[in-house]
Amino acid sequence: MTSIRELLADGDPLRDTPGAGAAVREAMRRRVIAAAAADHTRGRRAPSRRAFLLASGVAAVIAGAATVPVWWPDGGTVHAAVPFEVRVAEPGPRPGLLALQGAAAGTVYAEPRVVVGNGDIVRTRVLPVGSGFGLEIVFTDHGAAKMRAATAGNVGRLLAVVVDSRVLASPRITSPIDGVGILGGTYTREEAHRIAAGLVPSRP
Amino acid sequence: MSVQTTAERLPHDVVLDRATRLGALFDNHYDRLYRLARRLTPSDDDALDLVQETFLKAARGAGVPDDAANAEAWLVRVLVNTRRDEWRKAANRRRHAPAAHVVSPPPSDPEARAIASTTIWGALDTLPPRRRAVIVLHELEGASAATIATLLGITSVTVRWHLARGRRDLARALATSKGDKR
Repeated sequence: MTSIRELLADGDPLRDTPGAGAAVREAMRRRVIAAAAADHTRGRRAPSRRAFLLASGVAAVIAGAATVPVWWPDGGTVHAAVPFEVRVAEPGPRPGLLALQGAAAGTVYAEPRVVVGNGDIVRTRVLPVGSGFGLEIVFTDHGAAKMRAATAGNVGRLLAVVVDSRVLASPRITSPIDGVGILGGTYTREEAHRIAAGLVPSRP
Repeated sequence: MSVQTTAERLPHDVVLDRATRLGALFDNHYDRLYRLARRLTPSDDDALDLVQETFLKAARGAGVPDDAANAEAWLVRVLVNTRRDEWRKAANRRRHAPAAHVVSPPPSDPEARAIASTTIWGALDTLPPRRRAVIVLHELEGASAATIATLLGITSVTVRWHLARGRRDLARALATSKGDKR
């Protein structure tokens, strides 16, 4: 006769997934501490954990991508193998918006202003997300501040995440987004590593 | 050399202190809270949301005890109560929604024990969060009634009552499942 305790142990979700990854843990730690500081200084509401978990239907093919110049906030030029930018967007056309193509994400209509680009990324890390691999993208303080400001003022609109000139995901902004983003979940480990290495700019 | 007293501390010092303290709290209790949350929620995402919400409540409010044991009990209590709030909201939504499908294990599954385990975890999903927490803490973490009482801020008598009711509910679900198969 099998006891309830044994049956519970058999189906224990921690048996197969002993814990969230170190990257997820570290990202949460930063969010909690940032929220405490923001609450203390400005009474700001904490960002949602899922706000920047960008479910992507497209695995960008970036192998062998040429190095291209991208915008850098200090006015200089940086080089990154994989162009990356985030813009505020709308699902439908409007005067002054740019039509950006995506595969699974469809066409979205983005503001001309780039919120953050490669120059705002301080580091990236590959981590398991769902059944595939994704990227944790950590922004510089300046980049995080720009993300916070842009998303706080555009709750309800879309955020177009453009990687290698394609809209990879266009999640709706549900709350202010801070300094860490997690991309994807559909990549193989190798693809994720290639993208991770390509996103971070090499300064001249 | 200038010595800065507490009264003279600048706002950014206070923020730094809060961050250091919160970081230590996070480092000391994250694993324990994640384990409990994962067993109280149906998915990994729900568990992570629950853990983050618990730490955010610690970040927002005063009242987290300084010593480790009481801090742990405080966090566990907040986590379980947060789950209870979510559960109540979901229960309200379920009341106005069509009846949910009962998830049964796939018929091709050859292992009766696996089916029984799936049934038990399905039944666990339907228990109120505090009762579920009592069952998880006792059956999976091996905590005594007195320890659970301290963690959840309830009496040992209430813990034992939840244990008895929870076990009865799980056994009933198992019996119903076996009856359905006949």
